[in-house]
Amino acid sequence: MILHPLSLCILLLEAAALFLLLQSLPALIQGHLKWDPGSASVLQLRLEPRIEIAFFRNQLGFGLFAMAYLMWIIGVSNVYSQSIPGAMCGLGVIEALSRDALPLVILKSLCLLIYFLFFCVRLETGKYPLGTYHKKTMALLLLLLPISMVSFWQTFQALTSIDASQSVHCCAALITQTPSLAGEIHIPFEPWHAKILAVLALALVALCHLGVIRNSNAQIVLIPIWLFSSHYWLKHQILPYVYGVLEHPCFWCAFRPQYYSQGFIYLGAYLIIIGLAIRIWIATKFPEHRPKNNRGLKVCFWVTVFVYELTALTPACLWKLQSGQWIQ
Amino acid sequence: MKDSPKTPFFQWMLRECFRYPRIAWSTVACLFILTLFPGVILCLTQALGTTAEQLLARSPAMVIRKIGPLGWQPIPTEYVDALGQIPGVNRVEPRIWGLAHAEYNTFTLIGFGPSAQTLKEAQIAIGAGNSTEQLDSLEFKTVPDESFKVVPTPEGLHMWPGTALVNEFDARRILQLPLGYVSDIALYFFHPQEAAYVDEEIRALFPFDVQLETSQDYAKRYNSSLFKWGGLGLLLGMPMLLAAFFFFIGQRHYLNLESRNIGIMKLMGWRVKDLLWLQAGRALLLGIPSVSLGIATSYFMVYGPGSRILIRIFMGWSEPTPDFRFALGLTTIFQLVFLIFIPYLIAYLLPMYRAASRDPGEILEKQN
Amino acid sequence: MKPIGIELKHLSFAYGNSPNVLDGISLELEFGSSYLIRGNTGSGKSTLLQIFCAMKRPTEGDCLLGGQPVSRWTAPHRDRWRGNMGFAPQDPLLLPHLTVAENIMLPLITQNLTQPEIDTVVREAIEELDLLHLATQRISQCSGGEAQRVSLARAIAKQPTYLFLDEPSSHQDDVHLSQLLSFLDRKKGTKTIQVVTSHDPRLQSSCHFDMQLELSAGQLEVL
Repeated sequence: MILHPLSLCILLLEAAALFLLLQSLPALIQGHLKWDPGSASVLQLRLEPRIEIAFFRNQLGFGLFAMAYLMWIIGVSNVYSQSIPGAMCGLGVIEALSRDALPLVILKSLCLLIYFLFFCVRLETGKYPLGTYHKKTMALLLLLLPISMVSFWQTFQALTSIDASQSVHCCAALITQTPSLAGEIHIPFEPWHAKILAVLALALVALCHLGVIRNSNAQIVLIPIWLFSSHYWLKHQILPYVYGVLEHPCFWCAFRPQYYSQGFIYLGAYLIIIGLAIRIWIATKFPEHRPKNNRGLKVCFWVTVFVYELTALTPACLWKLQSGQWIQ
Repeated sequence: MKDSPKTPFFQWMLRECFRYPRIAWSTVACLFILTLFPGVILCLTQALGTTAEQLLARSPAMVIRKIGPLGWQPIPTEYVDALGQIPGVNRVEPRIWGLAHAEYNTFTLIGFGPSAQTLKEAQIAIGAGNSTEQLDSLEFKTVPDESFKVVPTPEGLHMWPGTALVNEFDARRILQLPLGYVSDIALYFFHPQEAAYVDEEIRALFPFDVQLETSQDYAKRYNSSLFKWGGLGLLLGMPMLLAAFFFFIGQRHYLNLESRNIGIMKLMGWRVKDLLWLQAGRALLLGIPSVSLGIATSYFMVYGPGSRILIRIFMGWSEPTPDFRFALGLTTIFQLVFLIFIPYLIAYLLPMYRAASRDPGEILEKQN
Repeated sequence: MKPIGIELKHLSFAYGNSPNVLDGISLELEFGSSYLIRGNTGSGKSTLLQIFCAMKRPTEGDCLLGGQPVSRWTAPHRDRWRGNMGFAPQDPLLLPHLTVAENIMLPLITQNLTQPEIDTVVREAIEELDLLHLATQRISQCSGGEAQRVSLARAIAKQPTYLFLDEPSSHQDDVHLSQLLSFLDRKKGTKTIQVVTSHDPRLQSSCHFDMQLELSAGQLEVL
C-alpha cells in the first residue's frame, strides 16, 4: 500500500513535520541549556530569534502532522478497504496492518497529543514578554523528537506491511471472536450504566468550569472517564440504530458513506473535547491565568458536547419515530 | 467594505501581489502546470476505479470455476439447482464463454444470455474495434470448415472491442464444450456482500476443487493495481516536490534581497504576523486560482473529450475505451491540495518568518 | 507632576568588548514633553535612540518605557510595542519601490484605521511638510532633503505615543525646518513624548523643546 497516493501524502506530510523538528534541534538544545531571558549577552541575542523560528517551524509541523493524521483516518476508514480483500471497514484495514496496528495507533495519537500540548503551552508562554517559560516549550519539543521519529518509522512500516493480495477478516468475524471484558468476568455493565457514568463525569466537569470545584487537575481525570463511558454507550446502545441491526459494536463502520460518515463527527467531537479540556487546563497552570479568557473555550467545549450528544441520539430518535419502538 | 479597518491591509496585499507582474504570472503558470500533471494521473486513477466499480456492480457477486491440474476446466451443470437453494442467492447463471482464435484475431467468445439467443446458427456479432471494422465473416481454428457471418450487434447491447457473441450451440462447438458442462457458474445475491460468507457452504457442494471469486475481491485487486500505478506515476513524475524546493530557494533569495524592506516595515510597527499575513495573502491570491484551474483542467482532460488521448498515452490502450462517469472524488482533491498547495504555502511562509523574525536593528546594520 | 514616559536606570551600553558608549545614565523623561539631546558626532546619541526604540538591549541597567523593560522583551512583544512608536532615523530608510504617499501610509496600514482615516492623516502630513507635489512620485526620484521629510512625515503622521527623531534637520533649509517644528508642536499631546537628537544649532536655539540634554563621555546632563 506504500505506493497508494494517499500513503505518499501521509508520509510526505509526516516527513515534512519531522524535518522541521530536526531542523530546530540545535537551537532547541542550546536554548534549553543556555536560556537567560532578558540578558544582553551575544548568545542570548542570537538565541532569541532562532528559538522563535524553531517554535514557528514546529507550529507548522503540528499543522502538517494533524493533516497527516486526518488523512490516515480517512485512509484507514474509507480508502484502503477498497483495495484489501475482505476488508469492509477500518477494522479490516487495521487487521491488515497486523502486529504494527496497536503500537502505531498509540504512537500517532501520542505524537498528536504532544504536538498539541506544545501548541497550547506555546500560546500561553508566548504571553510572557521576557520569554520566562520558553524552556518548558523547548522541553516539550525535545520530548517529541524521539516519539515523532519512531512514529514516522512505524507509519512507514505499517503502510509497507499491508499486502493487498492477502484476504483479511473484518468486523463481522473479528468482533464475534473478541470477547468483551464485561462478558468474560460477568460484570453486569449495561450501556445505560456507562451513560450514567458519562453524565456524572460531565456534571463534575461543569462544576470545574463554574469554579465550584477549584482543583484544575480534576478535568484531566474526568474527561477520560467521560470519553470511555460515552464511547461504550455509543458502541453498544446507539450504533445498532445507525446500522439497523441488533448488535454490531464496530466503530469503524460508522465512518462509511452509507452511514453518512457519522464516525468522523464522533471522532472529531472526541478530539475537540479532549483538545479543549487540555487547553483550558494548561491555561490554569500559568501564574497570570485569567479565567475570563477561558470563557470562549468553555463555550466551545459545551457546544461540542451538545453536537456530539445530538448526533448520537438522532439515529435512535429517527428509528423510534419511523418504527414506533426501540431496538430490542 | 470600504470603511472596514481590514480594507487598507487587503488593498496593500493586492498591490504587493502584482507589484512585480512577471513574477506573479510565472508563479501562476508554474503552479498550474505542477497541479495539472499529478492531477491528471490521480483523476485518471480515480476515473478508472470508479468506472470499474460501476461496471462490476452489474456483474455477478460470485463466479465459480472448476480448477484442475492444468488450470480451469469446464464445470458440470448438475450442481446448479443446489446452488440456487443457498440462502441469499437470487439467481444462478451457468455461463458459456472462453477465448476463441480466428485467423488474425482472438476473441472473448460469449454464448449465453438473452442477446445470444437472438442470433441464428452461423451468425456472430463482434464488438467494434480498429482491427475488426472491415470483417464480413470469421472462421475459427477449432471449426475450420465453417464460416460465421458477421451481423450487427443486437439492439440494446453494447459490446467491447475483442468480444464476440454467438448462440449457445455455436459457442459449444467453437469452444469444444460438451453438453452438461459450462465454462463457469455465476451467482447473484440479494446482498452482494453476503457472497464472502457462504464460500464454505459452496465448496461443500462440489466433490472437486473450485475457485470462488467475488466481484468485491476483483474490484479490490483492480483498485490495488490501479493505485500502485497511480502512486508510481506520482513518484516518477514528482516535479512538485522539486518545485516546492525551488520555490523555497527562490523565496529565500527574494526575501534576502527584501530583508532591508522587511526591517524597515518592522521598524514602522509591522509585526511578524502582519508580514506573514501579507505573504500568505500573496500566496493564496496567486495559488488558489492556479491550483483550482489546474484541478479543473485535470478533471476536464480526464472526463472531457481528451480522455481517449490520455488513455493511449498513459495506459497504452489502442482500442476504444469506455466513457468515464464523472465522480468528484474528494480524496483526489485532498491529495492534490496536500501534495501541491501545502508545500507551496510552506515554501512561501517559512522564509518570510525567518526574515521577519530577525530584529530590525540587526537587519539594518547588516545592510549598512 | 507628569507621568514618566521613559526612565533610565543606571543604563550602560557597550559594543562587544569596547568601552561603554553609555555609562550608568539615570534619567526620567515625562509624557507631554519634548526633549532635545545634543552631542558631538560619535557621542552615542543614535545608540541611545536605538535603545529607546528597543532595537538594542542595554548591557547593564534598564530602559523602562511606560514602566516596562521593553528592550529586554522577546521579539514578538517588542514588535507589538513598536506600534506605539514613531521613528525617523538619520538615514531615511524608505522603501524605494513605493511612492511618497505609500511610504507615509506604511505604518498606518496595521493600525486598525479605515482607508478614509488613513487618507486624511497622510494628506495632512504631506501638506504640513510641503510634499504635495511629490505625493505620487517614487522615492528614487526625490532629493535627500525631500526623502528626509518623507521619513519625518511617516514617523509623525500616526501620532505615536513615543516619537524619536534622529538628526531631523540635517538636510533641511530654514523654511522646511520651521514647518517641521510647527508640525511637531501640533502633534504634541499630554500622552506623547518627543525625543530629538541633533547637533544643529538652529534646533538648540528654537523654543520648541521643554528640555535640552547634553550627551558626552557616556553621560547625559540636563542643560
